[in-house]
Amino acid sequence: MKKLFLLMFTLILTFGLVGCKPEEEDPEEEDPNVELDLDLSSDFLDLCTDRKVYLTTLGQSDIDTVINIIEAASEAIPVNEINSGSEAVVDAVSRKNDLVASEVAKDGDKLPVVLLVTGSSGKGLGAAGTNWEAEKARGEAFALAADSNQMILIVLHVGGEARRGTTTDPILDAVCPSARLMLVVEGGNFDKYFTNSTNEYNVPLHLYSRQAKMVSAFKTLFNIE
Amino acid sequence: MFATIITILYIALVAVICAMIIIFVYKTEKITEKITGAIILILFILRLLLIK
Amino acid sequence: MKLTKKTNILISTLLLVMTAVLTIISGLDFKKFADYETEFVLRENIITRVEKFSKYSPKLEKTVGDSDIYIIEGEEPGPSVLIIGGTHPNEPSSQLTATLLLENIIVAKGTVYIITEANKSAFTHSQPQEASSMYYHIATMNGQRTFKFGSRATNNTEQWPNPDIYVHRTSGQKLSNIDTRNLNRAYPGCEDGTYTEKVAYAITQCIIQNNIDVTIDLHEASPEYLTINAIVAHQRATSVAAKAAFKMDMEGVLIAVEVSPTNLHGLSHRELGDFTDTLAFLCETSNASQGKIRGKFTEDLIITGEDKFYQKASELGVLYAAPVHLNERVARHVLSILSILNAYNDIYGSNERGKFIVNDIPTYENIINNGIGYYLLDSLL
Repeated sequence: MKKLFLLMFTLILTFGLVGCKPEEEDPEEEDPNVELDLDLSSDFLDLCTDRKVYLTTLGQSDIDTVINIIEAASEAIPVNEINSGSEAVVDAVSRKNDLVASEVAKDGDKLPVVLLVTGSSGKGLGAAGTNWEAEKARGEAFALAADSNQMILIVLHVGGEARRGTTTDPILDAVCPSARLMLVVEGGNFDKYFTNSTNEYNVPLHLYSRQAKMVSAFKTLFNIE
Repeated sequence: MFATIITILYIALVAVICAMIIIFVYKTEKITEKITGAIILILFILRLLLIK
Repeated sequence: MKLTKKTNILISTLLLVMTAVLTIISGLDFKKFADYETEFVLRENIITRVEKFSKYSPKLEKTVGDSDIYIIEGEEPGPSVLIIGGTHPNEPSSQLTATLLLENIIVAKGTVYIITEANKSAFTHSQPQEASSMYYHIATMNGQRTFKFGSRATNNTEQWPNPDIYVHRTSGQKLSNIDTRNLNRAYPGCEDGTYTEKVAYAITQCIIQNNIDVTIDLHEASPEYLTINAIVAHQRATSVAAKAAFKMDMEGVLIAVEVSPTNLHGLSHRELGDFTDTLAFLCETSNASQGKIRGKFTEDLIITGEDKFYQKASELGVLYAAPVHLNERVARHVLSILSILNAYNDIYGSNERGKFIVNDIPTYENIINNGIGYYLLDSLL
């Protein structure tokens, strides 16, 4: 009797395990509003000309990639590395990895543009030694300055899914609401973070299938044919 | 020097264990134990041969 | 059942004779694998000279670790690059890429150094308990070439005993025992160190003494591993790596760029960048045959990367990169190398040494469409 009971119990357990069926996932609804590789609207034409343009990274990754994209847009736009106290130059891109909001020159007729390259390696590589709190604080300062109409922020995320995670997302939370524009390689939007941000904060978002496709955006921003 | 001493000791140990297994294979009357011993012997001799 | 003494002795003797026969057959098989010399076809009038590791690490002379360094000097002097293949012999595209370049590249300006068997001892055995195929074959235009699928680590016959905790010599970093025999944790190496450290020392000294500008270490990783389809670059080399990745992106081949972590020691991209003036890169592709999710290990798995368990894992989205055919892995490495050299030219080409000019490197599409074997020279054997 005991053996029969044991056998029945085992059979029931086995059927219970193999009978489990994964829930059918709802088919992903495609967001009809975010197409890939679209040209920037004319609102952004010339946004980076005749004014000071800064390039920095929040997360200490991918800034070289963005420089390559800018150079592919035009070799006529120099990217100069600046140190503390150095002046940014009009019609060039001034690069400083640890730029802070207070270093951004606010004089001149036109507001300066700050290109914020976001994303950090979620794989631990290269991340060692990065002070995440300091990166987030820098981002918050940029956001505050943008909200006070002292500068224009363009948020960039070019590293795909690999550059999202627990260190990157708080920084994005800080800067996206205050951005004028978000340019993102689609892998980084795997969880619809940027799509949701564009809806919540009313900040235009352009998604690109890969980094090379973002070149057209910079041609528009710098008015290059 | 240390590596040489350790290597010699290791080879000696493996050789002793092989001898013990051979004796065991002869002594035991159970066929399953003889076969198990033979299989283990293959692995031990190969281990011995791998040490230059 | 109780055996008589005579029967007992008879059965025992028969078993032990069978044991001896099986041992000899297995032992000979292992020995044949260990002694097998992979053939690399050297083109006359193209290969300038062949050096040995012992030139840079004399204590490697007359050991299995005294690998060859193939040197191709261009018609014009210029910058130099070292391609390291075969650091981990269970990563086939590493050796195959180095071999493909060795047998095809024409150097017009600059110097190319190629290593096809960086850790030759690791080619004399395979990883225990992996049941891996010993060899794999690549069909060429008129025949086939045979390559060995070895182990990640130096053979114990060259380096034993090993400490339970591996203390990296220059940094003091503590790693697992398994990394004592891992060439890619031994840099910059040591002239009087373990076998593995001596090999690392040879490569480091080759770079220093020849003032090599660029070093590219080729690797593979299992599809479930984090760092895959990536170029890992020393911090001095990140601008070149980023430009190379962008060039690849322009051609539709996506590759990530990771900066070498400053607190992880022993790896080529860290130590060669710190201890020499070279720009150090490490490239990774996706290899199912070194992964843990795979089912049965076959030669087909090495070449095609096809496995039903990896297929399922890929469908579930739990892999960092899908396993792909060896052709695609080699194509990716070749494109990475070419892109790094072109990126170097863009950034450093105006320096005194000038630019690399290399030709006859098959394109990414051609390697995938034609297969690696199309570009390997027929065996001379």
